[in-house]
Amino acid sequence: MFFAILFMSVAAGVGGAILGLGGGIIIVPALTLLLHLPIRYAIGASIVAVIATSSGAAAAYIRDRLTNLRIGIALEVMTTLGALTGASVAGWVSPRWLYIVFGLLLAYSAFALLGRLQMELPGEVPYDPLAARLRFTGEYYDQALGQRVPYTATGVIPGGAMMYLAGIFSGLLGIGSGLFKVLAMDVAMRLPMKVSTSTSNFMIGVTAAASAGVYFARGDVHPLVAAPVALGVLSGAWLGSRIMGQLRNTTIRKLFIPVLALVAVGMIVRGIQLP
Amino acid sequence: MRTQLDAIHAVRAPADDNGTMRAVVSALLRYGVVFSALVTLVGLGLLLVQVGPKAFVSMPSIRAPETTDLTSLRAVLGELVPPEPEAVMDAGILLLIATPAVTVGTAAISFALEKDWLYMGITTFVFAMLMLGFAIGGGIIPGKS
Repeated sequence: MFFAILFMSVAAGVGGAILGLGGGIIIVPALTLLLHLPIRYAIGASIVAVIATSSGAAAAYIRDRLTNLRIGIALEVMTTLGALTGASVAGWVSPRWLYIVFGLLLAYSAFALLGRLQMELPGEVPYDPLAARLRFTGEYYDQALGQRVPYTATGVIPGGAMMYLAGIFSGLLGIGSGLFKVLAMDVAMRLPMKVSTSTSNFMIGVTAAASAGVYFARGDVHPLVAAPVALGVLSGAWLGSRIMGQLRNTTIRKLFIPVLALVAVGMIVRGIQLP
Repeated sequence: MRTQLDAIHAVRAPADDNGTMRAVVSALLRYGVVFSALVTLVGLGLLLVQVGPKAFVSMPSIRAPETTDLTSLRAVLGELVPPEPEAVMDAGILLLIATPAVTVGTAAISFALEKDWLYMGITTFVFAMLMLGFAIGGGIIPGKS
């Protein structure tokens, strides 16, 4: 049992660190379906896993200049505002339609990303005055390409709007914000894929930390489940952050699209099944 | 015609490349993670000593609908002396949860030191949101323990 949780968590940590996701998509079904743990402990453990994925990889990503702290922190404003909105309208919206609408949105994004499968770097992007005002720009050394990659963001307003939506969604349902964050930065703001996933990786930890207190107070963070998950995910995320630098942006996108499609289908199915 | 990058580099202040801040934030994250992992490992070690290897094989208590009574900072700290394995593990997990908050707080201070008021404001807002989350969570507010 203990080693099954540990092993599964290492895998979730590696995947989460490379794709900028929290790994809740892997952790919750694995703990409930494979190990038959109560759902509340699975969700409590997945919140801990998100923070572990983020913190375990962020040290390396920030040092290597992959994470853009400025973009991450500024967008975090939209996410936290969204989360507050989500929490306050929770009684008014039907989760069923929310799952279906967001599922369709993700499915559409998966198709949109297919067209950009071969695109290694975004290249020249349209000028956005807001990006210039907020200094959404940076440069990192790409280990796979062996060159320095300067980049700058565009589409700050649509990107910010997507972040707000991501916040609403995670405030209402407690999941899925990593996917939306990567999408907002990759599709709307046209940042290099590696910058998108590592900045998302930094952000999800901050978002999850804000709600972790609630889960802890409710007693959903069971030490015997959360401890192996935390240790496993931390070591997995550390490993993942070593691997990610070597990968090509196109490879990361190729790994991202099937995960996106799977989650989209899962959400739509869940929405239809809800009473 | 100049490119967008040129335009932005021209706007950018010379001291913009905040290498020191990156180093500090990165180091804080690394130490926070290593420290919390060590505390969690000590908790697991205590469990091995007090309960024996069977605690790792079966984990029967999780399947039962019983809940953990360690739901607040005060409850966890109270069980640390003498060290209760589950409380030590929880202390490690709480340290992990606190790591992103410390990172954001440090970033706010770094932006203030660089006199980057726009980003100091933005970061302080995010930090305040985090604190609000912790306060709502009851990890700080007594009563549930």
